Amino acid sequence: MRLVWVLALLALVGYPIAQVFGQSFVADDGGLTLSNYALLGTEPLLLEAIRNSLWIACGTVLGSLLIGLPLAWFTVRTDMPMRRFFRGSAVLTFAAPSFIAALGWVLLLGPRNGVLNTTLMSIFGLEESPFDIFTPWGIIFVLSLFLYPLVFLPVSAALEGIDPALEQAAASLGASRWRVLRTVTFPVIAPALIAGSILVFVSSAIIFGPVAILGAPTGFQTIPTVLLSLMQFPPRIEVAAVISVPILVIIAALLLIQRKLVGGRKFTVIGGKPGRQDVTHLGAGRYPAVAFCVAVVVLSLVMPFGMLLVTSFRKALGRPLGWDNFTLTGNYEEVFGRPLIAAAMGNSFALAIGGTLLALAVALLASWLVHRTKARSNAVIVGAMAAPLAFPGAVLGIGLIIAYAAQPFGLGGTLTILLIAYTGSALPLTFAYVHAGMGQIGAEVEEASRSLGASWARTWRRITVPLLRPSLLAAGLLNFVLLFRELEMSVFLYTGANPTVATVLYNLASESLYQRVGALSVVILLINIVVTVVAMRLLDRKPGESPRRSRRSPSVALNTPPEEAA
Amino acid sequence: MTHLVLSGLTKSFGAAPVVDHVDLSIEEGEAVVLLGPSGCGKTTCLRMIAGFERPDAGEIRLRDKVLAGPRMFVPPERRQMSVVFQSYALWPHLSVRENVGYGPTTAKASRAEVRRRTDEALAMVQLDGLADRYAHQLSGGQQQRVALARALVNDPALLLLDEPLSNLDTRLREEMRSEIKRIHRSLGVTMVYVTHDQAEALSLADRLVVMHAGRVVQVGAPEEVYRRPRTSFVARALGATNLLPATVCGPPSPDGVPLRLPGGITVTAPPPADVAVQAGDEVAVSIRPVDLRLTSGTSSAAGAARVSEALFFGDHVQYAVDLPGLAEPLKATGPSLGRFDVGQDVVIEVDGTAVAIVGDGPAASVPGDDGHHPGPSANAGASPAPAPAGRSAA
Ligand SMILES: Nc1ncnc2c1ncn2[C@@H]1O[C@H](COP(=O)(O)OP(=O)(O)O)[C@@H](O)[C@H]1O
Ligand SMILES: [Mg+2]
Repeated sequence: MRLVWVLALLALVGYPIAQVFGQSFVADDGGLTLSNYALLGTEPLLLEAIRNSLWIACGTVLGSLLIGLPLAWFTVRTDMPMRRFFRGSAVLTFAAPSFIAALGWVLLLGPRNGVLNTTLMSIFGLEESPFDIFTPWGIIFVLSLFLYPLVFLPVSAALEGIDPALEQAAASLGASRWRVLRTVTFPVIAPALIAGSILVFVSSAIIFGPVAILGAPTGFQTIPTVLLSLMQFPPRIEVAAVISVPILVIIAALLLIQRKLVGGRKFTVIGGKPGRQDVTHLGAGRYPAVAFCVAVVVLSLVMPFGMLLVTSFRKALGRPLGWDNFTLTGNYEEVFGRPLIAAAMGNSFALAIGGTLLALAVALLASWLVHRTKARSNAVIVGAMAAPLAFPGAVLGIGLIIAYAAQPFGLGGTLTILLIAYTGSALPLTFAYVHAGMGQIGAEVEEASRSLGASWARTWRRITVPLLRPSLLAAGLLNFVLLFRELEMSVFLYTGANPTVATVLYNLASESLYQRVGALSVVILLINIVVTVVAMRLLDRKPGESPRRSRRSPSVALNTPPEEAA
Repeated sequence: MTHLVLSGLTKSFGAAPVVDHVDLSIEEGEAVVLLGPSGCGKTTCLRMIAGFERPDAGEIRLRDKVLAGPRMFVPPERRQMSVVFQSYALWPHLSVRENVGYGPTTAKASRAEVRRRTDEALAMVQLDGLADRYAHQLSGGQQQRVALARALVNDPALLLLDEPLSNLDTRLREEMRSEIKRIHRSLGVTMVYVTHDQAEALSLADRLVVMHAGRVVQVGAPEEVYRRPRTSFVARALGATNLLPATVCGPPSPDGVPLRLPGGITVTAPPPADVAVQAGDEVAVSIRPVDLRLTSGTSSAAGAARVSEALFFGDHVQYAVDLPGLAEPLKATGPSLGRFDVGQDVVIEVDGTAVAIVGDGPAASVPGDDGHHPGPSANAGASPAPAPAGRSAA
């Protein structure tokens, strides 16, 4: 059993990542060398990409703090109305595809035809568009709107967890409000704040989708986009490997710090203890507070996705909105009339389901080993299952190409290599859910079955798996949604013969076919929503399960950076 | 007929053995209770019998079939043993009926047969009406009954219970205790019952096994173990007791050992099972509080003492009594009618049959250390108890 797990993990992530390291030491003549690393200092393209990534990452951290901190304070410590709604939408934003949202923002704030730009121009009689989304600022803007939950969720959990007695004690000693905030409240939430900021930093430095969409017109490159261009013809794999290695090391270090700060504690999103803390009465300040929160929801969810929906019904982008420019099905027919898209749909479905199931199988095996065997190496399993979190999609993609594309495997451009990629990247999240679920099932529940004459296999089928069902479903659902629209690795691994919906969408955007982008985005989002709703139904159906368990699950996801949130 | 035999059973987690050379044989239809403080290895012992743990050494045999031994291990599903867990371990996704019917269903019994046996088992634990509920819709006592029914339905060769009542409140615990006793008597099932509660152990056991630090320290009928504990540990394990120093004041005979207790009390105690004593020896004795009789009397008689504390419990009174020559006050229990007051002078009387000579002093906390082997001649035949199983030679 242990061997099966080791082999599976090696094949899925261990071997590819080792290949990245290996390749970075290979000289042109096949010998070992360190000279590849000299490229890091000399290649201007690389230096600029690294600078750009850092710039984007720092900007996004700042932007996320500006959105996330006030939102956390408003929703936890004030009497602002609709607090639960704003929390819920933060969780929703976390699962929304930022890469598709970026497409929406292109339509809203594009310098030539962006709807907001043209509207503002006609209202104020401007000569030029006031905004240009195709700038680093535009990228930071979009990323902040999508990564702020990584700050918001841990900080609001920390705010909720503060023992009110601490603050009251300080206040009773005569400390001013500001002093209480500075000396008591801030130190308590600081670890959560820093941990969240690290996640935002890492995620935004290595995110591919929105940066590729918004940076392309001006040739703005960051680390993942430069990696992609290095892998395209003529491929310079060793250079890609060289740049990957320090990234892996830095990310691993940052994530370790993050984990230390969080201290293994899980953030609870739902079901805090409301009313325990002193609540600030905002009075008239309620209106700006609500306005701020509404603006966040509108900007992150309503506007970009609404714009795509509207665009999917437009005949031509150049002409103004109106009935003569309306087509109900035209764009959808266009999109689905193309066999390429039908194939992409099929591929994405198959890959998302296949990757989800394989990841579940590996995660089940791993958590069974951890919970039901006593080997000392079990701690390693927990670490190893979380490790893919530290591998950016681009790096894992490159590793898979080095490892499997050429002979003897010859998997380059096949669905199999995509399946390996999807499975590997789904492991951390799947394991987090399955492991937590398994932790709630005592060994005795299985032993009772064994002693009544049931074999190991029957015990699994009749007892363990049914009891794990909520965790399995939750993990499966989330992975399906994330994998169905996976872009980060797919752009490295797909070929024209094996497209996925995300790569098709990406190519449509590169060709500026935005009505079709709109139609396809709407379909992807609909599929996501339908899957979610169906799975929620399934989760709630059977009696006899403690509701506690299903409610717990979302909290697990929030510890994981959204590598896949493209 | 001998049913289950454990020989030299040993299991370690890490360095220290948790179960240490346990020898025990259990007769068909017998109710054996393993009693010992928390952490002494009772659960581990039970889990090895059930097949959830592999012994490091030793052998388990059921009706001459080796279940576990060197190079032999029968998995739990082929041992025909049912386990009732402390946590009940009911399956929350199955109804009561499905829980109880799991055994027969697994054995591929026909649907009618499964139904009949399930109904029978539920009736046995008096849960007829609740078959379609789920575990979380039942009270703790009802969940316990379901766990019992689920274990009984398979007609097990051995029923294993691990502290089944420890999650219930006192009233329910007493009720379930007599329930288990009734079921055991009416089905005649062989039973190994693990507990740290002396009342449960004494009332349920046909034979009582007292464990300490992974070893068996005494085996015998409950009354015998209660009356004649061989060590101070066993004496304390079975309830409140007074451990006193005493002097053998005459030659011991098979009829008894003359003893002088503190305060000048003299008694003739039954000879101990495995300690050889001679006139002049200093020994330790155990006397239960109920066996100390207090009478009002003068301060010059043997056993003259003074009440230093009296706690009224309604049906009885607990006293602490200062006896000259003893640092610790004695514990005594008396009737609540005609009770004594604090400061009152009393005389303590003890019946010799209530005095048990224990093989170690009150200070020694580890019993069964190898200082006291049964003497070659002493007291042979005085006690029908089997050989102390914890002390396997070698
Ligand atoms: N699976 C295990 N791993 C490590 N130590 C264990 C395990 N099970 C029991 N122990 C240890 O063995 C000792 C005896 O445990 P147990 O048999 O449960 O005692 P009891 O049931 O008498 O309270 C305890 O010290 C316990 O910590
Ligand atoms: Mg125990």
